[in-house]
Amino acid sequence: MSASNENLKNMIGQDYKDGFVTDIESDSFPPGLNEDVIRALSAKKEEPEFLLEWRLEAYRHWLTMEHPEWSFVEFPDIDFQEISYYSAPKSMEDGPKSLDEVDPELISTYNKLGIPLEEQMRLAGVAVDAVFDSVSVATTFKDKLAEAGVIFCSFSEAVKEHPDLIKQYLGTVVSQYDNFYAALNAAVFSDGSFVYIPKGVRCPMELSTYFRINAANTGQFERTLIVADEGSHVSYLEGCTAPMRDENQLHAAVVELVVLKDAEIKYSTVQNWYPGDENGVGGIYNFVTKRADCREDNAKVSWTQVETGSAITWKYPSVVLTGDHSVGEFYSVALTNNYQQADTGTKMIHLGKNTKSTIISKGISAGKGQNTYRGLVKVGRQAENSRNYTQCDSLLLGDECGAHTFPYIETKHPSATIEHEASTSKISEDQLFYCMQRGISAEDAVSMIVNGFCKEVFKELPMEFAVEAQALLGISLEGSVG
Amino acid sequence: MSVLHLPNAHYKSLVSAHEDVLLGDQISWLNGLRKKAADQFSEIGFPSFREEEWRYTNVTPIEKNKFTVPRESGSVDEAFINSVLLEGCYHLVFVDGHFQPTYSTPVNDLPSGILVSALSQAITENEALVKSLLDSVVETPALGFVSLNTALFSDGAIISIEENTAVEKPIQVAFISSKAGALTLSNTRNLIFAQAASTAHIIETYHGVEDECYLTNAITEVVVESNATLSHDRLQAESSKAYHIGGVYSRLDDKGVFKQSNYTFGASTSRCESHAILGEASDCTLNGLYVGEDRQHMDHHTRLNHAQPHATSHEYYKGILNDRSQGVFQGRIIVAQDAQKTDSKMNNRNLLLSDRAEVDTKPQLEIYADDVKCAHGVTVGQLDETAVFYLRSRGADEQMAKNMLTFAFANEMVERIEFKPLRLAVLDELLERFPQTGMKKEWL
Repeated sequence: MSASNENLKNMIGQDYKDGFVTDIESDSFPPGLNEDVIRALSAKKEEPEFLLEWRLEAYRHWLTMEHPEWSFVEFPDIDFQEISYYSAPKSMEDGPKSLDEVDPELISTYNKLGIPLEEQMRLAGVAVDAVFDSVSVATTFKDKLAEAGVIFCSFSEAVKEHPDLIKQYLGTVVSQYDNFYAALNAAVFSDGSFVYIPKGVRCPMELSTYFRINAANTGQFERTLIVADEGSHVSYLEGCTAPMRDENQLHAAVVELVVLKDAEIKYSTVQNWYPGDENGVGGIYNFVTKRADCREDNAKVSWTQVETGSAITWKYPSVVLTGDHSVGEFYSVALTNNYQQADTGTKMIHLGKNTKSTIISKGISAGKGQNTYRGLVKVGRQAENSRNYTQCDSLLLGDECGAHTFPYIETKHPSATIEHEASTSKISEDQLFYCMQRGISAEDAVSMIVNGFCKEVFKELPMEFAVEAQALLGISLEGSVG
Repeated sequence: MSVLHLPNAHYKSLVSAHEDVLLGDQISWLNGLRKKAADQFSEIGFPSFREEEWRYTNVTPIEKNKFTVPRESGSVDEAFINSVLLEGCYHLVFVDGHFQPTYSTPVNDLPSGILVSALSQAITENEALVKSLLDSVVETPALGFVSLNTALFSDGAIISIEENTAVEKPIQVAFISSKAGALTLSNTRNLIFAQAASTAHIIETYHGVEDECYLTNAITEVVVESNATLSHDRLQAESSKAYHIGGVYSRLDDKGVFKQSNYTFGASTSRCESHAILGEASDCTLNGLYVGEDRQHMDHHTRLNHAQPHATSHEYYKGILNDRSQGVFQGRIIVAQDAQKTDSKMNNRNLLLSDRAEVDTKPQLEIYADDVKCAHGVTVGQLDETAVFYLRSRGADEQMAKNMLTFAFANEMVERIEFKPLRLAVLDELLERFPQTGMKKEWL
């Protein structure tokens, strides 16, 4: 099929559209990592003693850990001493109180990305806590949220203003010893977002954070903590773009979600970090630990992710279903092109009775991309009547890419019902032929089929994100997708 | 990768202690091969459960039990041996890894065009054939248990079917462990060679005297040449205290057809590998049934390596786990970049009958070609309450209703066995575990 071959070539030749660097003076630490760096970082952020101790414990444990090798990705060893562990835009020292005080160059950065804050402030329903490198630079709609009792602020602000909440919940889902990158993150995390939804509150708007990696050689170590108290509801959006870089940048974030009785968190991600050029040079290493704990009965967590960026994506948003009747969902679209590698999936740990989980994963491989689904469904001894449905589909575009599926299913209770299905296919000639004999061009037909392939996941995204996700797929697969 | 291997000093010393009494110890190429395997075993040893491929199976008890290799076979009841031999087959019988000519079909009774013999005989009569087949299919670097087998194997079957020959009767190779009262280790190696356009059916069976604790480490290497059709059944009915580590490693040439089935009932801990490398337009079927009770641990690993285009493969494993038993299934389908038009399906269904039973399953797809159809499915569940209710409303008591449904679940695999004596042997095992199903053998 020559039309699609040409489409594939176009697609492979597609440049990264969000690649640009903003020149802002950065206040950065020299590269290197030791206890003094952590102490300095903690002091710079005026952190309480318990947090410094927590960081140091994590660092000491990290030193004893080995770099994990089990995943299906390949990359050169990372020298953790060559990374600078703190970088803040200088103009932040004074602390802008409103958008007007924010460095105009930052604003123009966001404008280039198509997310002008002014406009977003005017747009109803979305509050933005934008993270430029490591420090929050603008927080909007705070008042409206405060009215509802919702706390939505940067992590460092939360440490100062709500130390009790941080002390109570930090590290209770992903401990500082959890894994290599989680321990590293715990030791050196720079900032992130903190959300607390009080009892019975339905968050009046969707919360959104834009992450951005800017200063060269600065690993980003974000830490997000969301606590949904009894009967509350929140929808959280996370989106990422990054400037074009030649050097690999490490991103090791941790996201912790705590869901109490009858509460619900919906967490959506669109990730479009720089994937490297067509020869596989550069690109972001995205090693993320995301985990939710449905701590009490009837809690619900829904992860939705669209992964089109990063040279290497290595993340498994997980749900620990501790409370009875709790529900975990995972919807994912992962696209790999050129030399991108993605090893992603989810873990659903059923511990409580009558717990339910759904996993829908769609992988698309093109160019020389390697796309791996790796998921765990575990049913504990007490998890009576638990239920899981898993579907992993892979679509291969081109004959040099790979699609892999590695599910793990561990069941310790006879009343559990687990279903797992997976398929791998390419766009079939029959499907194309059918569309084309109805008068649809080859390109539109491919577009229709790929969109249809991902539809189950896109329909889970909030409206604003669904649009962006489709645009991202469009950029990544331009020529194939209309 | 940093991997913790189990200490294996005892087994290393076994290797050196037996150097001079092993089969073919006068033959230099074989000694060289054994030496290489022994060195490799000293280096890698037994796998620990920290290894990805062994994370659900713990072989520490094997290391701790310090099994020893018997220099000759122990005594077994004649009646017991006769009871495990299937009707209508040619037989090869081994006790504790040593050949038993008295129970085996004499060479004169075999049809022309086939070689069915013990390795201990073939090594002198057909040395070139043994040399060409031995260690030709197992992957390198091999697993620790494979290296141990190569270093120590005492005997085994060699079966070679000449071109364009169809063998009418199945060939049964029976491995029996005696009532030795000692912790014995049998290392056996089978070599099967189906030459171009030949047809044959081979049945491997493993038996032990009840309550005996021993270790069987049995490797089978299979070569299916172009247009040949080979069926291979493997019935594992070891003593419930035994350990069984086994593997069937096969290579299919173009248009070869291979059908491999495992029926696992015995051993306290068992692990069976079934690996196939598929040639162009070949066809491979891997089936399995495992039925666990008490504290049995049953692990099946399959690997379908689609190396060439146009091959098809089907895989279907079913498991029933009762009491505190644990079932493990790992299936891996690898499709190489050149293996376009591959069609591969894998299915694993599990029935959990008790709240202490456990199933761990890992169906994996690893695909590097774009024009392929690959699918896998897994289910874990329990008996359908409404079906149980229906049967009870018809007068069956609860246990009978459950046994009937469990039997029906397993019967899907049993019905696929075309050779009746084997089907009856598998049924015997099933009915022993699930009596009062209202099922009578005569009906089949």
